[in-house]
Amino acid sequence: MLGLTGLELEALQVSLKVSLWSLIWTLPLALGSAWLLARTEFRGKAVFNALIHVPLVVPPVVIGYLLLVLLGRQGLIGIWLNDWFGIGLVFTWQGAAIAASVVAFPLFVRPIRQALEAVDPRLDEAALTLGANKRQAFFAVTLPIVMPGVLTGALLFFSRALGEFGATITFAANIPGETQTLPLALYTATQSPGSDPIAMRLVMMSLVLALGALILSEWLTRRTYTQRRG
Amino acid sequence: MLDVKAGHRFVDRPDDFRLDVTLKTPDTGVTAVFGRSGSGKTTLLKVVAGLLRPDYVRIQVGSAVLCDTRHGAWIPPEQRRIGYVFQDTRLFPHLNVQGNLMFGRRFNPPPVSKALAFDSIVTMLDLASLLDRSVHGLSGGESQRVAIGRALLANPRLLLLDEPLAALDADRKSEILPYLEGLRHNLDLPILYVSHSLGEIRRLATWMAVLEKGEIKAFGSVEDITGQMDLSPLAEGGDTGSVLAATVAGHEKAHGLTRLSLSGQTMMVPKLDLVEGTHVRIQVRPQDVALALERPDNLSVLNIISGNITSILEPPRRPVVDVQVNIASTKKPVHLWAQVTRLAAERLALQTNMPVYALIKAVSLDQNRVGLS
Repeated sequence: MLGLTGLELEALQVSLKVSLWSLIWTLPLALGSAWLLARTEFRGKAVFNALIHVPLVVPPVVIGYLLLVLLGRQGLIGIWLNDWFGIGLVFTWQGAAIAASVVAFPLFVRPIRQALEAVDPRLDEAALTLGANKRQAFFAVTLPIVMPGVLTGALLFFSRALGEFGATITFAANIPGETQTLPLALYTATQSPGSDPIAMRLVMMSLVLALGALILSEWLTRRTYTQRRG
Repeated sequence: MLDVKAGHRFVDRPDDFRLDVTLKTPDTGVTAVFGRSGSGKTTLLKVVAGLLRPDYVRIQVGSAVLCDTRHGAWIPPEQRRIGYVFQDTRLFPHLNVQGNLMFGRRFNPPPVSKALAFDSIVTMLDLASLLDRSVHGLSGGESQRVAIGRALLANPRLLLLDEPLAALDADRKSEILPYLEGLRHNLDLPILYVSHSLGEIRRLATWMAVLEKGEIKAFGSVEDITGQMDLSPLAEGGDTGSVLAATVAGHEKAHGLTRLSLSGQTMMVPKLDLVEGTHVRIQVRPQDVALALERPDNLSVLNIISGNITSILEPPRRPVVDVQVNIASTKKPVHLWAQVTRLAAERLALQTNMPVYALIKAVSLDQNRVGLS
């Protein structure tokens, strides 16, 4: 397809699978975290906030190593997952998705949190008096209003997950067809002599993918605004 | 009927504010809650709507008990069907006017009453031309009309209005007042109307409760309360006065005046477009009333009303006294307040039970001071 080799196609598939699944299972977590940070007060909020933002400020390799310590076969949580459920995350695409999710998570939470902080919480009271319960008020009022923020966060998250390298290679390794995403394939190509044309094609694929995500997100954001202006 | 009993101590307020309210209002019609800022008006509305849960509360609307904390009963706000029009409208920014109006329909059953059908609400509030508009471009008055429509379309059994005019300038106020009067006439729905403007209350309300420091100080018909109490310390912006019930007795077409009959006496006001026999209410500001001991002649003032002084109040630190005059010819008193300087009161040696003449310039009783009852 499009003159792509099997290896390149595989890398593309792995990249999309890892990034999209990360996006899907991280969305509720990001919404929940942003909600906690924007709308609630609780003990340890500062610590919680710092924890979420750690991946922004430490090298991804550190995150990968910490994941290995926690979720590896002999890791603190990993050993338990393995014994009870037979789940092993190391060297799997799910492991790669977890690595990408953790690293990109703060980029997802921040725009949603800012959007939530800009919403007047008294609109919820109005929704209550009109017969919506708290859950309905969230889905009918708050969520649609913060949708542009959610889309921005989703784009930042997706792009960052797509480009994830350090944490992924440390935690999930570089296995073609399983955990070898585009950046990892590109890295491999740059390490083998005479692979420059392959590397260039991988670069082009990465660019197209990132630009595609950007354009899609812009279009969705504009569509929400147009609907709103009615 | 709305029956509210509520008590709450606010631990987070420094002034030791307590809400301690007992209020029972009639089945239909507008009941005004009057009081100055910080007297607990909005708090009371929030308690009724269920947005605030006080230490103790029991609320009954008609035969339905919405909450009674002593018996562990609590219907959450979304199930109370109490319409709430907020001072700041709180329209949903992501929906257009139609979306805002229909919001309550997503969660509530359609109304039983035909008066609350979509089309009739849209007609009553003149919203047809706004339906497709975004809420961002609406004027203050338009926003407030949409907010009222939105509350009504959620099929409420009681409507709460929290100073819907307070954020509007004078022009917008007079634009929206007729719609509020329309609500009162067209809907069979009890309305609780919070305001610190006696002018609005006079035009809209039949009953009024006076709220001061979280307590109901008085409850009764607007005429009785404004006649019995000196509300000037509670009113803001000098907008005080007695409200008197009167009937249109005839018109002086040549002079552009209307004759009102009031407790057997006649009062002239600038021409009103109302037929003979219409019942009206007029607000007379105390500072527009002068007093005389004898019926004066050769005077430009058209309205000379006889009565007896029933009480004299001396507000502290002010050079004036508030004089309450009973102008009724029958047993049931009708009170008018006059505000005169302390010097004048001393010169005339005003005392209670003294017969006096109240002088009111007709030009002070313009249309803004007359409302339908």
